[in-house]
Amino acid sequence: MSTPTKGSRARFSDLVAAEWIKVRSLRSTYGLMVFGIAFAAVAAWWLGHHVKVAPGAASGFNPLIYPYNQDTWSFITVLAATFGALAISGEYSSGLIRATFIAVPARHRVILAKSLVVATVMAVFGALSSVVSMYVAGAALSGQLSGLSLSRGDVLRAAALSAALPVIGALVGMAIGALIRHPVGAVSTAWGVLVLLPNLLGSGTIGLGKAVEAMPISAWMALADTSQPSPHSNPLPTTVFAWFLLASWLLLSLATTSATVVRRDA
Amino acid sequence: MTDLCGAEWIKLWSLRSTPIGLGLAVALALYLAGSNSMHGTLLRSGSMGPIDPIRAAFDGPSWVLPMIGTGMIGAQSMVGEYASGLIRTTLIAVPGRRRVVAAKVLVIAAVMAATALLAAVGGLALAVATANGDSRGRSLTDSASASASLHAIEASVLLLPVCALIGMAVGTLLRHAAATGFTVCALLGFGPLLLRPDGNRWATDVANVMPYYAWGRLTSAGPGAGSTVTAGVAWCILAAWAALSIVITTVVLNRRDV
Repeated sequence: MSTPTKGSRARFSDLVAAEWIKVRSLRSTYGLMVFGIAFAAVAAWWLGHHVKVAPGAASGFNPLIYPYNQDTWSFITVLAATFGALAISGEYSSGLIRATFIAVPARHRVILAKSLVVATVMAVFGALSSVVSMYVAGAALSGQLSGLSLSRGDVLRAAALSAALPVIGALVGMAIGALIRHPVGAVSTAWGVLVLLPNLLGSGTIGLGKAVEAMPISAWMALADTSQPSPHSNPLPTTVFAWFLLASWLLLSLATTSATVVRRDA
Repeated sequence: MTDLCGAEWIKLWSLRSTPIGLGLAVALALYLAGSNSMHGTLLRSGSMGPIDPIRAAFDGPSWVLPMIGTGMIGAQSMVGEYASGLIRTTLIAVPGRRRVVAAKVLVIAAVMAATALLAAVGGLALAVATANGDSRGRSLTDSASASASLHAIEASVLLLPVCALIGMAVGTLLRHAAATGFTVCALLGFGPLLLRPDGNRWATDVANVMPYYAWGRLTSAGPGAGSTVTAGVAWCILAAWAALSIVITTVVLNRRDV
């Protein structure tokens, strides 16, 4: 008969290591990140390349909307949400979740470790996309607009917020993955919730502008000053409320994931 | 062939997600048609204006979610078989792979066409019934409006099967559930947002060949209504998407190991 030895309980660092191996061993992790960074670079080049500014009119332009375009970062956010959704629903569809919970019965610790790993990977992904996007847009805009450099306070702020947006997206995706547990259902729900539904609601035919205002991308636009000039743009939240929104999306997602996974049969 | 269609019919309806997805798509289209018609649309000035019933029933953004939903069901019909391994049993039972694809295409396209017919006719009827003021009932009496509504219904009945076939082709190419889901959403839902037919030449050309804008041209209500593409070309674009998707599904399934 073996007696449990002292310290045999998995330490938190072991859980993080296990989750890191899971993320690292999937080919889709690398494919998704490379695709996202390439998309950000191409979009930044495309948007910056077509800008023609009349001499002396440069002060009327906000250079941030080229590297940190709303559509580009919606896409990056959804890509991150897909990654998060797969981190959970992939375990359910392969059955690995059962082995994980037999090894570590404290489910909330597993979720915490998983969220930490997913958030870190997405922060790295976000930072790379954000910096690449800024330099590519800066190069494409050279001769037309200047000022895209991390030494400027507002640019640094927009870059940091853009790096953080995929983290929030991935945590939202994890919550969706925990609720739906089916890869196709989870991925289409992530698209629906983060991009398509806000667009539908904001298209004016329903008139739920308030719902659009609460989306992470709106909070990001308000804080990073990246909203497009438009004849009928949706209202943005105030700065304080935008911080509150980002924090609530993050915490509510974590709480949803943890509560659902702990309560439900694996 | 009737046996093959019967088998595909059973596979399609034994999934809980099929009635849920189709039900949601129809419910959403009906609800949005009524809601658009009653509340009007946000005009450039920011106020809410009255709206033509055809425009209310065939509003572009309202149809994006049904498009995605049918695309997903089409994709799931291939990906699900690969994921569960059912594809092996199917192809052992019927070694003629082309016939399997033909049966699948027939069943999926027929179901989606019926769904689209329900959503389009129901939505238009609801939009006419809930329209306020002078636009009430106009689209059913006036002959120009009647033919416009007929065109819009026809275009929508073609649109949803095309989306499902695109989903099938993507599913056959990728065979991975999440990657397929992501690609279908990106292609059908995000593409039209990213590239609009009002940008530069290149963006306009790419946008014009998207199913969403081709359909908008044909309904003469949604986005793409003012496009430079003629109605004939728009029909051809939708047909070409369908044909290309069927060819991709057939060739890839025929060539590849299962």
